[in-house]
Amino acid sequence: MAEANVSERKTPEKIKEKILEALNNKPLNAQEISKEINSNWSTVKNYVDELIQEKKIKEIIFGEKNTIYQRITGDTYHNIPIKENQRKMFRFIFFNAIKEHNKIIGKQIRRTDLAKMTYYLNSELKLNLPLVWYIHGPMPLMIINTEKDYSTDFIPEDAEKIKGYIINWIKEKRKNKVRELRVECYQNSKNELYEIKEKIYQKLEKGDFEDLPDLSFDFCLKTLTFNKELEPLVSRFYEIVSGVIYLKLEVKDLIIKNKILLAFDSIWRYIASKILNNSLILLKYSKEEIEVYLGSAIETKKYQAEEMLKELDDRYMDLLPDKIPAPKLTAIDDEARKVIDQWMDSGVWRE
Amino acid sequence: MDSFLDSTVIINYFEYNYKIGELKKKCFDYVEFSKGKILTSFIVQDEVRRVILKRKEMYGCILRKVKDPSYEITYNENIKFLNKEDIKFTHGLYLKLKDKSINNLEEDFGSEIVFLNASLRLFLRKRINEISITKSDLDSSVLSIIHDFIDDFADCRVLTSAIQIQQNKEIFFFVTADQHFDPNGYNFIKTEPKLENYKFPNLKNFLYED
Repeated sequence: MAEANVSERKTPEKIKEKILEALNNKPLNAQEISKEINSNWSTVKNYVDELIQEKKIKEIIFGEKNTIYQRITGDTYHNIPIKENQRKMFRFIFFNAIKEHNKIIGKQIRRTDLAKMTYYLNSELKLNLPLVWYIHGPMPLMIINTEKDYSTDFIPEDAEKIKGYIINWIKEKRKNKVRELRVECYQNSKNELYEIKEKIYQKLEKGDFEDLPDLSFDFCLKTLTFNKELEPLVSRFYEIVSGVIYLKLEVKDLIIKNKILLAFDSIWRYIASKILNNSLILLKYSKEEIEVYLGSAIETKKYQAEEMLKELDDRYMDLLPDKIPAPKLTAIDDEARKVIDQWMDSGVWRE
Repeated sequence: MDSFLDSTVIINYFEYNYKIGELKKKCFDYVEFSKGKILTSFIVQDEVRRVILKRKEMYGCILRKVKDPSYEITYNENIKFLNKEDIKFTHGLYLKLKDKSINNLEEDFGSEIVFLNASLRLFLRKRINEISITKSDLDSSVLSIIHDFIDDFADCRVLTSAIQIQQNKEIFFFVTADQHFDPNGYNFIKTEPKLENYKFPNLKNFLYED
């Protein structure tokens, strides 16, 4: 009977609209879609297939039998759904920021400016917008495209106040260098992990390897504060980098410099994807949903990080001399060594 | 005869390169002049890695305290590798080093740690003939039986990995310098009926040799 109702009373377009509405908040399986639009799967499936062809939804297959369907929003990262009022607010901010930036600075706003400004507005005005931390720090879940026309009829209650903050940000907080903008944002948010990663990138890009062993160890410690499971990856990176610098291999071999940068970049992208995962949890997306949106992307990044680290390690091993020059210690005297030996003999370091 | 090396032997072997000592020499000579194959497990490899990271963190705490005497060397949320017992030794070491020049300390700490790291990588590639058994490969029933005899779970994991590797090989030496593997205790474990079908490696503990 229910099926008859659908086919008699609703046009195919209406049914497809209902399917899209049902998928607005989260991905659903066949049974859930059928239930939502009150029809059996054999009827709904044709419309679902059409929507897939129209690239309005996508099919995600888990294991051998589990299939779910996700709406393709096209305007958010990983097609993660956001509420319509949040979308409207983002459009309002983006439109006004692009306009005011052009007016005040006389040129196109950069994506980083827009991302950091939105983060600032969200924090200062408590807008409760879906912002997440990812590779370069905080950013809106809605994709920023500075070429896009964001004009909107939507006018929020405190529109003038928001516009005032936008103008103030452009005049007071905008920086000429994107890196400075990022660093200030990390410092203001007291996010030491991001601060250290930025320092490491800066050193690697300049080819300045001084302090890199200590920085990569700090990076290792801060990463473990975030997630202990990342230890093998970050500690191995630290080990290799410190060995390379100690043996001055980077002076002899330019390829290894590049490999260190590539390995760090892929490790950071993997860590950032885990941070994004945590941001979504804080935004109250369920773990199951997040798995759908990010699961495969995180796995791919993990694989890439391990591969790049392995490539770096292989190069490092090829360059290692037959004998490592022993350190000449002056401060660690016999008395101090006795304490170290006692510590080692005690076995308390074994966990 | 082939040998399975425990973490203590590997660390002592590395340290002999820059610090003379009886035990370190024994470990060094054994590894350096061993004719048989050298085996170990990923459990041991990870443990050596971790103890180097611990030492790095320990030195970091000491440097911080030397630079800023108001800094307290305590077990807190910022400590990632050291445990409470390690912290006590860290404090003891600080007392021995607090009057040394900061530059010399930085130099010593930095060079020792990277020497150990680099030595481990080289050792794994060039000296170790065979490495196997990760944490997930450990036979949980053997591990649990061994745990009835040895309190320290890390020691249990190392010994279990050695026993597992031993099963399809000629008897080798389980080479260690850890006080928890004393000859009497080790022989007692071998008498456990539940382990009667298991081949045990011969214990070679430098702490109990003349």
